[in-house]
Amino acid sequence: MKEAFLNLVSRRLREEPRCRFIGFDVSRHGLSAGGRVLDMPISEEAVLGVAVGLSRAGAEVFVDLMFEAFACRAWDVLVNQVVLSLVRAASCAPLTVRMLTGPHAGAGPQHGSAIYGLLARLPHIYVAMPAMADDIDVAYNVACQQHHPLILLSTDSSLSCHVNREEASNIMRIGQGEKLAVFCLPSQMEIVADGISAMNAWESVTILAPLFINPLPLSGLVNAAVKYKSVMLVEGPPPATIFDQVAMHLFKSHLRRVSTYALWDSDTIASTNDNVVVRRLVRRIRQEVE
Amino acid sequence: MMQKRIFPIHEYLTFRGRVLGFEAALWEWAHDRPEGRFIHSSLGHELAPFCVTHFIEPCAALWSFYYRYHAWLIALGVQPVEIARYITRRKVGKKYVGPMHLLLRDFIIDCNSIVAAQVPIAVGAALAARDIGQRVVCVLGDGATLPGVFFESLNISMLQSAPIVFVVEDNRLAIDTPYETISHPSIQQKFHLFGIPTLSGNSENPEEVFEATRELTAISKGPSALCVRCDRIGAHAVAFEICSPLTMIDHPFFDRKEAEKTHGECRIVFSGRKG
Repeated sequence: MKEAFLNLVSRRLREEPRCRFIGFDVSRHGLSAGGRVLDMPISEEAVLGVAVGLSRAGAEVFVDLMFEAFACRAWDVLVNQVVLSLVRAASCAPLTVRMLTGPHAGAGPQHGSAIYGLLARLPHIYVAMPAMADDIDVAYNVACQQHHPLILLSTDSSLSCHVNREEASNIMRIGQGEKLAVFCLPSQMEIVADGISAMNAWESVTILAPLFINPLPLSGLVNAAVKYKSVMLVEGPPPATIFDQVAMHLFKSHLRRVSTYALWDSDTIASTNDNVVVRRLVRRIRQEVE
Repeated sequence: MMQKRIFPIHEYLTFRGRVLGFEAALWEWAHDRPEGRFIHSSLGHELAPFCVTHFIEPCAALWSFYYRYHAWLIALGVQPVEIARYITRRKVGKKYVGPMHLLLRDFIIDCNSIVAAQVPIAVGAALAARDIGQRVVCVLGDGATLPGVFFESLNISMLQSAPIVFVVEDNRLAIDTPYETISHPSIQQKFHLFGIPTLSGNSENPEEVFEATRELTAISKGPSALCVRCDRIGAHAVAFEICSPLTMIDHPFFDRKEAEKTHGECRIVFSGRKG
């Protein structure tokens, strides 16, 4: 995923002479662009502010902010300043911010917060968690066409979520023999697919992994829910507000079964600083499986 | 060595009169409305915009302001009635207005109501402006030299040699708290800390500010800073003004005719009548 992002940046640096790539340690990626790859001081608010300024003055900009949790230091820019740019969106150049998201084993508590639920509620900013490399280009193109800033949440390699496969398989036993639709975060698609194929218990399975967390494709989900008897919503890290909303919509459509689950192993949960929601969900899963 | 220029006192008094006329009409409309708490008069802050726009053409730079910017808009050639239409959210041409005057001119990139938030944005814009041979003028109040993001931004501006002129309107008040009681170093010291060339002047001596502006705007590479000591006339926001700025109409440092003319034009817009 990181390579796909860097490929996109590299291509845009070649195509667009005013394009910049700024952030922390970005020069280590080895992209050469005549001084347009700028290592920035560890000053999140100023760095994102600089990115907004570049965009408003017509220069496309990519920002690598490392961890999603660091975005909290730049909250004013995300909440108040980016939105103002939309007043004259047509004259602003694309602004793309990449961050690693979610809790991950071994990370310090201040590096593991998952605030995508908050980010997804920011007005007018597209927040995407691409499932596949190609999705990065899709997300970028859509955001550019519609003049929206884009936050790409990445769950690269060792920093991706650690899922307990056995627990996942247990979850998959629910609703055997029925048609099943699974709605999950893109980052969890692989493990969910593994669990499903290991069970081989359903008549048919559809996995829905939304490219964009916002705007949420609720209507698509509801249509899927009508088609399939059983829908499973696989939770990501907390806060899970968006998934709660989806669950509410599906309940209202009188489904036979709607379940929400968290796929996080206990080690990962222990390493997160905000794990109340996850603990609650895991308890529910265990109760149901037992 | 550039020759000194004579301070154009008559143009300055006319400009001040225009600002006074606008602010007076605005006061009549806003002082008892909810909006009045969020509108800030430029009275007393006219010198920096007058001097800076004398040496930098509006289209030759990108401009970034804080919330006390009416005088800057007028100095950039925006008609007071146009600003009045904007504030009252009436149509400008065929378009409804957007927030904070961002659609008034292409070269205005920010009018920010969060203290110091405009500084990093201006630095980023300066990096982009350099591509096309322009620079950025970033206007801030003395209170904006207090938050951490101000220092972060100065650091980046110097590291990247961003072509930016910081203009600090130093009225010694952060809202209503005296600046001396909440800042240890002086504003000039803060810029010097990063090695940014800084010149200062007092609006009681317009020639001094005019000359400092001339010298500073001749620096075309990297960041530079102009600190203009001035005295805010009236309260922090229009709603807290006790009396109309019109009481100053006989003030010797305002062009009375210009003030009355602008006041009359703007009153029509604020009252909603067709002029």
